[in-house]
Amino acid sequence: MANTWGYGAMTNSLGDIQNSKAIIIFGANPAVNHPVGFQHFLKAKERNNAKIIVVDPRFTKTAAKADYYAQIRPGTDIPFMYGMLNIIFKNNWHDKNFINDRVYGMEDVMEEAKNWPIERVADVTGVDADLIVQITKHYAQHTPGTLIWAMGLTQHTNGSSNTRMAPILQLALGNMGVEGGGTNILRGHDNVQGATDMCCLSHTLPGYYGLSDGSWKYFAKSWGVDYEWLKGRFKDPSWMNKKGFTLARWWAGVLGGNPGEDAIHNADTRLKALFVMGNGITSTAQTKKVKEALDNLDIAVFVDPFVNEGAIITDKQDDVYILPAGTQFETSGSVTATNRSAQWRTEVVKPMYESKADQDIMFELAKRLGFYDELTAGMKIRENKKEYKWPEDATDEIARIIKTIGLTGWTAKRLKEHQENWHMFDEVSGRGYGKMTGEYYGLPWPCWTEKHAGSPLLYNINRSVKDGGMGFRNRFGLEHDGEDLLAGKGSAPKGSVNKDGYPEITRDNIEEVLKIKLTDDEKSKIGKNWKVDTSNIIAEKCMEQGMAPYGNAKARAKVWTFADPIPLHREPLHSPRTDLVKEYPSFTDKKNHYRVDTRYASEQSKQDWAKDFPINLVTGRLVNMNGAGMENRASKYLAKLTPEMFCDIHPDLAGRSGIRDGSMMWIHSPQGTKIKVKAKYSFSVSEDRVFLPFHFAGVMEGESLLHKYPDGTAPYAIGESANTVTNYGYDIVTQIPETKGGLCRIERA
Amino acid sequence: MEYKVHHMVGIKRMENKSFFSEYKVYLIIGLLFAILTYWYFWLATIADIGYVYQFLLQIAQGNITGQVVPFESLSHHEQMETALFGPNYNAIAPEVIRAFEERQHLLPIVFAVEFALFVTMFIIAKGRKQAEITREDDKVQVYSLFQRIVLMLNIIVMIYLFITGFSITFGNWTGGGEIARFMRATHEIVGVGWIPVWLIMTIIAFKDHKHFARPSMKIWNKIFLRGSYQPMNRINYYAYVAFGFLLVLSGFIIWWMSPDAATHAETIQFKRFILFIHFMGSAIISFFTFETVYSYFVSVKGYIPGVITGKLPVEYLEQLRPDVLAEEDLRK
Amino acid sequence: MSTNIVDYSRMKFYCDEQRCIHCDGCSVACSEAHELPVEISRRKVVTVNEGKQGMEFSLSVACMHCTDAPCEEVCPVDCFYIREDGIVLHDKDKCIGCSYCLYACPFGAPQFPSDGAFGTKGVMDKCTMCAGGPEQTNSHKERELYGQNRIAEGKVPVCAAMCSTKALLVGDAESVSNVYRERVLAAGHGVQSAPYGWDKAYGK
Repeated sequence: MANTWGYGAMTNSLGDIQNSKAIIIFGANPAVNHPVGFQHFLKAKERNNAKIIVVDPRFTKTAAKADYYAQIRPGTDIPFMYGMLNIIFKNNWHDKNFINDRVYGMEDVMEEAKNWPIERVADVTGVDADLIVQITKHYAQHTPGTLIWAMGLTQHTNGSSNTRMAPILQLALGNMGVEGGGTNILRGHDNVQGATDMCCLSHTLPGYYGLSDGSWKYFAKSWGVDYEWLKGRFKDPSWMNKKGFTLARWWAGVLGGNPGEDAIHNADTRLKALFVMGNGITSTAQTKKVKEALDNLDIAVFVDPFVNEGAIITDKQDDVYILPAGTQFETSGSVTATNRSAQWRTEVVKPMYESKADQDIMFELAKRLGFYDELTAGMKIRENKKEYKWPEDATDEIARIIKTIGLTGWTAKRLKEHQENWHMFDEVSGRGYGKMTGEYYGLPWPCWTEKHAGSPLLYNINRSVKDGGMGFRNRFGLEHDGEDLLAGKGSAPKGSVNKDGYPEITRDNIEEVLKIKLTDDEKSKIGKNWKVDTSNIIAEKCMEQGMAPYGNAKARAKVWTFADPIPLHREPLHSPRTDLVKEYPSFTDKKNHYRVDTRYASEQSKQDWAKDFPINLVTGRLVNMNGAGMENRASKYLAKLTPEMFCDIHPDLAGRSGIRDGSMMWIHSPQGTKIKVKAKYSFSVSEDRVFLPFHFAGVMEGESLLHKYPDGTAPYAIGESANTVTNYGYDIVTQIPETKGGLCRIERA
Repeated sequence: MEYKVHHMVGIKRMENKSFFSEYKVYLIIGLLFAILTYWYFWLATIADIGYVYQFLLQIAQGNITGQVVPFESLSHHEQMETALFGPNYNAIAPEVIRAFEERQHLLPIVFAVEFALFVTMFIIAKGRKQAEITREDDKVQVYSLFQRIVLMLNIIVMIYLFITGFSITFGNWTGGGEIARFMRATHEIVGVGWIPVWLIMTIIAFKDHKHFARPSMKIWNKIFLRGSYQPMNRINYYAYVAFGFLLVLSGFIIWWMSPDAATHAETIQFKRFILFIHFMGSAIISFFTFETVYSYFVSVKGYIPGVITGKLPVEYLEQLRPDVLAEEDLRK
Repeated sequence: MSTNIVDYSRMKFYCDEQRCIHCDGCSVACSEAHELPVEISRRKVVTVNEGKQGMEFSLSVACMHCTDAPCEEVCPVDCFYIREDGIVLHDKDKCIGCSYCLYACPFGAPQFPSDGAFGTKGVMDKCTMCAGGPEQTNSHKERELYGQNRIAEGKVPVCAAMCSTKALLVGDAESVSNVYRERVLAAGHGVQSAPYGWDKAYGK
């Protein structure tokens, strides 16, 4: 999504959904994953007569509240959306003005859409042609419409194409930058958006700055550490700009080079140590590989309030450490919600027994590794202190440094004020009243300055920039193939001095674009561009002129740097439709994809997978569990609701395989792994697929691992990990595993 | 012997009696049952008898949910209510609900009427029959050790079940609390414990085996109680078997299918029905128990030492229990 | 809307099946708040017609605190008492655990822990609408036996307080009815005339 219009986050907010007239949900299950947030969906349905459309491989709890439900084959969202676009373009339901002013490259999409007549779409997706037409007609004609998605769209080999297709659909209908519209990707875990914004990822510095030398230099300066010292921490300077391993495939770094494993590019070494901090490592695909990697590490450390089952699945006996971490109640700080807003959390109880708060564990580690001073230097810079105060100084450090997503306004003081006054904001619009007038709850980023109100709706040019408005980000240059990439005439945010498209603001173009003159003092202090402007002069001037620091450009439907410039359908690596695999094969294999050679087409065409593994496998969440389930399965009331691992299976499919309701069954994966789970008859899945919840661990291929838990730490419920049988497959750009659409074979146990 | 001839002559004469006089006990009891059934099911009950009949048919086919028409045929609202709360509450539950307070008022009246009935019978029979014993030492071993244990157990357990069971029923009188709770809890445990006792008792008291097969008498008499039944005693026995069975079955189910929130909607209708069976069984068996007590201990004077040793004087048997002496292996 | 005077003369529960998403927040909140044994489910959520389009609904079920409560009628030891505001409570010290109240209840509200030896039942436990029991209000003993007494503190019963989508409401019957009426009017179609179970619990 960031590649489409600049930022890759939920564009509107949960409350804003109450303004929608139509809500279409692809591969997301908010009734289960956001039960409280789902209230807004239901209120939209009740009060706004909004129809809910759910497109999902199984009839989820969300689908139960939907007005239209399409039971789509996993991994065929692109054909579905092209089918919709084809109908939309044919009937002229698209918003021509919007496309003209604010979108680049829609013509290529229109061309591709012609390859998807309704019968083709029905064949590929498995959804009835009439239903597709019905859904499209309703959605296109009831604007503003909001498009919701989650892991069902992202966890595929072409997830990054899926997540561009959905924005394209919304752009075609002019549903972007309006109340009740937007692409609302629902982030799951508490503060996952915050973690993303801090880029706990291997391909960028915090705040999405990337790994270029310029970024490193900016951070060195901002952190108050010597750039050369930073450079010296790497094997050689070239490694400073190279992406690391991902969470999905770190294990390849341990096993790489073994016969049968993908080769790695890690300076001729393997990963030797693993430090897991609050991560459900048993909930990533290919659990057996994870186990194998854990077995082969020199040292593994798990930091968690509950026993991380990574310590249980491994056979490694020595040099496995479990450190007790405090919970969120035993520490304070800010967390970022799915709608980009921040909320302050206050410690309720001091860390109990021997557990330590996460930051203290990290500081202790840094002390012993010798860079504690460098690590904490940045927190003292702002007020030139001797001692830092946690967490306020950390929060202010973030606000001081991260400009790319406009966190400048997120000072600890302002966030705490919101916490104290959280009853003074409107549920739907987020606007504050009384004391909080002029601010949106949680100051959704970008919050350009310390006075800025926050931006609850991205790309909304009907509000002034001071009030959260903006156009699309100018991130991809000024023109491409001779076409202007800046926004069309007159499509600038309300109250802007510059009424048309303009580039991102730099030291060099600020005077011209903003139509101002800088003083000499300002000229000496100003940063090179808006992203590295420590003085914040650029942002302040932009606010005065009603302009967004990041420019005002067109969103692009075509991403010329990607393997597929416009999204194209590619069958999942393990597809039940061998005939379609031939027509829509996957990508060519990618070398050095986050340091691991990753197979695509070679894996897909290795054999006729559908023949031996005919059943589609879908994984998903349960409402009473979360992630790897370590915490929930150790909670007796939550464990009581789902005490055992199970597989939702259609009675007819079960009947054909001789599996009774409540009896045990084996599920085999194309990679040769298997799990033994209880069959649960359900009509929510169709006859060609089964569903597994992924929250269980503690049993491996039929063997119980209960004896491996340290005394008194075993959770109430254990079970097989669904990810033992999720298939090999990783997104071409992000390397997220393809867990939402693999194959399996079932048999009676 | 004199008495025996008398007896045999009596038998011969019986062949000339009418159908009515021979089977009068059965006919009277049968008629009373029919009246009771008619009164209850057609006049007194507010349960839906048609529904109960359908329910029984469904149970016979293995469907105990109480849903007698296909679930799919119900309207949406009915489906929701059934799946949430269980089926057709009004068809059975009022019986359980309404009858409750009434039981506390009606049962003492019923028992009083029964008591009056027995007093009347006592008067008509002109008091208690006794045996004249002259030769105290001339005894025969009538009851084996095994049989004595079973009989004593049965008596003690049934007394305990009666007391604790009616302690639950007459809760207004007990007022609840620790002791009443203990009585209820032990009622369940002892009740389950009664199951093997009842079963063995049923077997050994099957004196009508004579009408079926006759292998070695020695083994037979070690198991079965000696003698044969008079009509009323036969009725008592079969009532004990039948209503004991209902109590055993329903009691076991009540204990085993302990109230479970998860399966409530699927099992509650069946449990209500079973509870009703248990109440009905206990009420009816109490009458036949009183009758048994009356005929073995009230209308006839018993020989107490025999309860312990199992040996009864021959004279006693000659006068009061000639059917026992008719057994060949006892005749000396 | 009705008058501004809320007199709390009759407390009722209401669960809106158009909003209930079977998140089980209510049942877990109840168990946690009152520290119940695991086998007791004072409140539970049931889904009907799972997986069937247009027919799947979920509802949260607990004691409805009925008018003319059948449980109170049948109890052999008369351990129930009904408050002025309709909340049905009972005395665990008197209860003998015979479970007649469960058989009489249309909603299966009374629960029995498997307390004793040989699988005998313990004393009855059920939803108290967070109103405690006969022991002294907010005393330790009351908390031990019956759980929190939130009503006495002016707090909303914890199940409805936790309901994710505000499907479950509790409170004065008229206020609850008003909310229901508003939702019915807003939806404008396809709802039944009364919430499920209200005719059984509170009469026509």
